[in-house]
Amino acid sequence: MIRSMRASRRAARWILLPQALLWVAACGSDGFQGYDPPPETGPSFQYGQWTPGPNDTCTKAQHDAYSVVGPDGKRYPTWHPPVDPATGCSFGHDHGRDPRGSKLYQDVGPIPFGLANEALDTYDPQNVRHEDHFGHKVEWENDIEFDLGSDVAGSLFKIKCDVLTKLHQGTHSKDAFTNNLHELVYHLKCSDGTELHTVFMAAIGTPGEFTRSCDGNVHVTVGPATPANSPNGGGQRVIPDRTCVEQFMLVPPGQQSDFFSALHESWQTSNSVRTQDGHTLAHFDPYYQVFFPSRFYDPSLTDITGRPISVCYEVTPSGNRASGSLCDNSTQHGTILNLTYDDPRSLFDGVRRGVDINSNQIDNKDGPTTWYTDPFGKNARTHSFPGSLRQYIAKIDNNYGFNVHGPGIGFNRDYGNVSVHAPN
Amino acid sequence: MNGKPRTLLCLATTIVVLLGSAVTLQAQDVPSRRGPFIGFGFGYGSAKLSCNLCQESREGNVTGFAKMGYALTEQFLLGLEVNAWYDKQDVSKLLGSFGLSFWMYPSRTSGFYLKAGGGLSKYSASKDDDHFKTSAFSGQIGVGYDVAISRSVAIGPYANFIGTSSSEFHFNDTVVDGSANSSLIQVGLSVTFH
Repeated sequence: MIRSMRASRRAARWILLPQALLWVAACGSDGFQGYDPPPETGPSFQYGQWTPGPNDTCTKAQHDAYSVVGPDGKRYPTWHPPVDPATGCSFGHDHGRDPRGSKLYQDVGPIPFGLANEALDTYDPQNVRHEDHFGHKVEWENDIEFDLGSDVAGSLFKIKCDVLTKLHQGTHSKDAFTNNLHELVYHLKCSDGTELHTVFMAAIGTPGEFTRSCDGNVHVTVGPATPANSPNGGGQRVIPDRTCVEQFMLVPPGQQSDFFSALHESWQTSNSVRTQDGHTLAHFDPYYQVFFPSRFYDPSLTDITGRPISVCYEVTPSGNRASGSLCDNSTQHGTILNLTYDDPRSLFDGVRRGVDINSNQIDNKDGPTTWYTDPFGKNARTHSFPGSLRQYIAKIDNNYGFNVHGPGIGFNRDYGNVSVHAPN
Repeated sequence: MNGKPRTLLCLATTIVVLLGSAVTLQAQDVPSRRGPFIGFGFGYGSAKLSCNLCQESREGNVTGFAKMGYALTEQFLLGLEVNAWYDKQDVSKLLGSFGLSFWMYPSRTSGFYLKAGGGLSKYSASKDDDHFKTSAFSGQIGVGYDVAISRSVAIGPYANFIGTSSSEFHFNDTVVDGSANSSLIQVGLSVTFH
């Protein structure tokens, strides 16, 4: 047992060594250069939460080896591949794109998962918000050319950006039916000087409800959110429910299911970093999309969580049923019976995702570049305080009078793997 | 053809023409450079807008100028000059300048001249309701050769470079960039009446 732990520690050192070297390499680059990690003080709440399920072959120790010390000195889980390259064992879940390929990685280093949640523990201990491990999803793209929203501007100017983002976007449980607070990490660096390095609990839409994905006019009220004092946010969480499944997935004989319309999730954030006096230092509104998640809202079920894979076996009294490749390939054309939602063979596992970058506005011409906000990105001050989060906002006013907005990224990627399964 | 190769080709052609003119036409008569004069020219222009956001590529299209002034001596001329470069593809772009210019002919018996000047310049780009513009001080230098076709009329090749100081660049009513500047390279054929 002790030998096993020592081996794990040795493995952890080898895994963390490249990350440490990248932190060192960040010295000497221009602009934001990251923050020196402080001495480690102990584990965060998030660290060590994951334990292997029956379909996973990696150990908890192998998983915990993928960790990083956050700016608060606590150890956090961080990105890892679905399959451990050192041993070939599988974790059964994915965290999106390997951030080490991002040009911003040399400045920001490994992303601690749950840093903002941890800050909220300190800021408001009576109203904590703990999220699971599976939902942390990373996406990034280098050198993306932004649309300038004007033919004239497009003919004269060019703005290219690197973006690296992480949202906790769990699409396997009932959590997001009610809860609108989700940790958002957002790094952006553009050729015009626009630069943001932020982390906070993004309030996405209204707590206690979501917007029906197949009818944007319908707000489905579910129940109280956690924490109870969750603030209203801009944007909305667009999530499918049983109505969408019946409309687009359960179709008459001879028709094909429209899985996209039935099960598309779109978490449309509208984020601002504001000072104590209400001045908006930065505003950005990326939309995080998930196709074919492993859940939908079904108020008729005791846990209010419907499973698309179960719908593959369903026949309505009128003879409607699911028909199409996702069900066919998951069930081998119906020959595999009773697949559960967490079976790796189910293709409803939330591995197809993308992010619409949209607009990124900064009004911080006079600086400073370093601000300390509460865990929601508000009440920014120039000095830290208990439960505060450090944000970097470039000294710039990038309001040019035309609509600069980024494209969608990641939509052509599939983070699936034969071992990845819900919860993911 | 892309802007940069096209510009280089035109510059090379102009240099060859200027040198050729200087060699083959040196012995010919020069026009009388006395009293008032007026002239104009047309050719190819390569314009560039430089700023923090700018694409920093040169764009080529039609250019021209008009001038009028007075010959102080046979070798020194002073006048007013307006230059313009225009590009109309999807977006209309106009780079224009207006100012005082000074022509110097090193030899009384040659049509070869050097030119310098300064004034104001304006760059604009527009389509539908969107309008970009910047105004700045400008300076120019040039070179050319006048070949007499009569006692009072001369034609010949010319080349100019016009550059501007940094200034604010506006999109409708918003300042896009506080340090934009533009430049224009012109090559063409001019006609001058004395």
